[in-house]
Amino acid sequence: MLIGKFVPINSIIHRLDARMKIVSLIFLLVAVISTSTVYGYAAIIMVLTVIIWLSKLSLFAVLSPIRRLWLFFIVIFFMNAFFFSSDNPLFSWWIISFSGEGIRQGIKVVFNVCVVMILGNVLTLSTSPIDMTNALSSLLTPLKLLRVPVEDVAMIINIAIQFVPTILEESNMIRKAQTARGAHFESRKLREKALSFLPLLIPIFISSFRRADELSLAMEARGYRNAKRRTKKAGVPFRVLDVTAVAACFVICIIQIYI
Amino acid sequence: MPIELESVSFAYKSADGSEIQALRDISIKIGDGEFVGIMGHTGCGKTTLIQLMAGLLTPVSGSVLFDGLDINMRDYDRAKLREAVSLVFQFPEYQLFESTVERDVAFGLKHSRQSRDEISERVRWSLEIMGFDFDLIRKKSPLSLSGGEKRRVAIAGALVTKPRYLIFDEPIAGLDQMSRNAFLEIIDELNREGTAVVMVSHNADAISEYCKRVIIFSDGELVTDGAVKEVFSDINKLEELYLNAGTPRTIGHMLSGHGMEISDKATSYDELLFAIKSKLQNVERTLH
Amino acid sequence: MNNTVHHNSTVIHGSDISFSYDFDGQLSSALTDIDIEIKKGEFVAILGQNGSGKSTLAKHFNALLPVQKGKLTVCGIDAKNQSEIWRLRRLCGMVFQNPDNQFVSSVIEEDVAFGLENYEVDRELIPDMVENALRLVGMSGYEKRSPHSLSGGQKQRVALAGVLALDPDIIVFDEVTAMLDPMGRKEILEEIHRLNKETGKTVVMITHYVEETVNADKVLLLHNGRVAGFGTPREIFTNTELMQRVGLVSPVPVRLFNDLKAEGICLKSCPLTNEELVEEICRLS
Repeated sequence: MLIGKFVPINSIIHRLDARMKIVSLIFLLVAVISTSTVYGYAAIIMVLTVIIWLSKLSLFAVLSPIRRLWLFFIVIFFMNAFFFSSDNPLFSWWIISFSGEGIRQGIKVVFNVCVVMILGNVLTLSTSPIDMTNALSSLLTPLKLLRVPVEDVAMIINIAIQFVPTILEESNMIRKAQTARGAHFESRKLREKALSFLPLLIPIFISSFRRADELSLAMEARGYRNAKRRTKKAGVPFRVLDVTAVAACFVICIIQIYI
Repeated sequence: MPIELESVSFAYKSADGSEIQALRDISIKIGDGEFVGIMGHTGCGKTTLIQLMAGLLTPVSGSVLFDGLDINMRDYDRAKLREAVSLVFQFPEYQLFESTVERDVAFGLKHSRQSRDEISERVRWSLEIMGFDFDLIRKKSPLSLSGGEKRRVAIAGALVTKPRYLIFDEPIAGLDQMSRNAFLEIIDELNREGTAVVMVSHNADAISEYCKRVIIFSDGELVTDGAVKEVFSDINKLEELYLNAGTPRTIGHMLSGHGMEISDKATSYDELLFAIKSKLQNVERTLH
Repeated sequence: MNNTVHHNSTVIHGSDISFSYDFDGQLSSALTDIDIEIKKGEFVAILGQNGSGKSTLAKHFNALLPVQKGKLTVCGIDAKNQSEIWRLRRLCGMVFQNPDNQFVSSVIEEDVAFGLENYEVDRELIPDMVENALRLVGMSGYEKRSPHSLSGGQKQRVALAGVLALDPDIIVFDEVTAMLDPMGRKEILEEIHRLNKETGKTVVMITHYVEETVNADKVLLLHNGRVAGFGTPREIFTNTELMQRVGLVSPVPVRLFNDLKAEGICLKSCPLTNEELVEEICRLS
């Protein structure tokens, strides 16, 4: 699964304020993107290790998006390695050129995507959906000036994330059901391949609409009008822990940018 | 020729990476023309079992044979299996996707080498078995139908290959009484014409009334496999497994407990009625 | 807690309710001239085949569907009064059929709190109310768990807790057992009956399973969008002609009663449950 389902355990990472987790995540992402030295990468890996260790999450769960997308990583590695234009290629033919810089670029891109996924995964695994909703709406508050209905957007994001596992499970089921009816999902021709997904996509679409319809009724029946007219969450003051975490991430970010 | 499972085990990985054993060392043989019910609690491995039978899952150990050939061998022709064994999932109405009923039912024949006329004839045949007027329904959108109708269309889609084995996962869940009985009658008719039927169901009344053999699973293990009459007469064993023996058998058992001996072979409604009737008439006779 | 339940005041009163769905301009009638009266503390089952209009009727009670024709009063509130809709929904809660499509959070305590937050209940009061609701349905200790990790019956109990947290007078159960296995069905049915007895809340239970309605106070039988019968389960199920007309089969004890009668064997009174049947038969032998 690309986005993890909240695992309720008691760890420092779980206890951190969700708003601060999101801000820290952004600092760390900037840090990763600006890294270019081997020491930089080593530092990032160390930070990641510490975060995962502190979160008490199982390594299997944290790394599962990487495991599922290994083919995608191989593809992006070779895309970068082969098509990176360089002045002194090791080997060059037609539009393909193979160079040391290309390989380095490939490794860098794959590394960055992996880190982004792991951090995003740790965030969703360690933050409850309602905390996430509140954090998002609080961080998006400036958008209110542009008349964006921030609370509603946050509620939509929360519900969407929530339904991802259910819908993945369902698509797995429908895939099997259509295979039992003789569907081929492994055709080689592009046109056929595209068409062969219709028996999968259409039922999932219909089912998602049905789910959305039922959920909206259930929400209305429990008095939901819009996200604005709800009990406000406490304006929890940031604790020392939260501030320290953000500060640490900010420092890492600055160091990575300037070194 | 039968579907055979030879000491099959299956396990899957849970979200945290640990292995969960779904089935342990299962050996079953299901022959042509049988009508088999499969019972057990949610999570006992029933669904896994029928997916193994239809070749949708590959066993961790052991083998699944169809017509004597291992269906998980690399050179096995899966198309043959798909035609001879139809698996209907729970809530099959959710898998409809074509623009018309006719096209949706014909989906299973998409890769067959039959002519257009032959396919059309097959589609007509299977929709009529499921109680539809072919000319009225063929051009309708599956989405415009009621829930019960959708399910019948989906089952017609499984019949279209004229399978020798029909496997159902909870086919009557959520249906009302009338649709439930109508469905069971149709399946019974198909079985009498020679199609083997395997039905996973929680409904003990339906299994005791229609199936001839019943297999019971508990925690991934096969605990009972035998003729329906034998299995349902042993009500104590079913109660140990927290399973229902069907209403007639339950009432018979309760009466026996209150001193009115009802045969443990009275598992259907008619048998129970007859047993009570003869007991009470005897009582009246001795009174007069 | 006050255990005396007053069976006198009417909490749902509908007359002449009709409703049609609009499919691209084509009207399809779902309910015709429904009259219904439900008293405080009653357990009323609405029984009918799929497509008989049960769920459509149920969705009128908490104004999820508007009253098109006729009059409906719920807890003294006119269901047509738009400005009272939110008060009405708090007084008349609803649990739905599909347990997977009614959770807004993957943490149980957050989900149970959802309704309370919608009514802007004080933040400090919420945790106690959530705990209380979960205790009422026997799900204490599951606060931090995800609904997805539960069995079907447990999911429906959590959904019920989400409704109970708002302390409604009436709870409508819209085919809540339809997607459950026999154990889950038994579990949630017992829960609903216990709740009705212990808290005196009015229960309206929609179902197409005849057997589930034998312990109800009243059964409202719907057929093709019309009321086909309204009375005690015994009155409804012993009316063989009525049951046949609406295409329903009576519970096994009632069928045995009728078939034995046809053979000249008369039980004193018609049993509804297996236990009653056994008692009646033993009285004869």
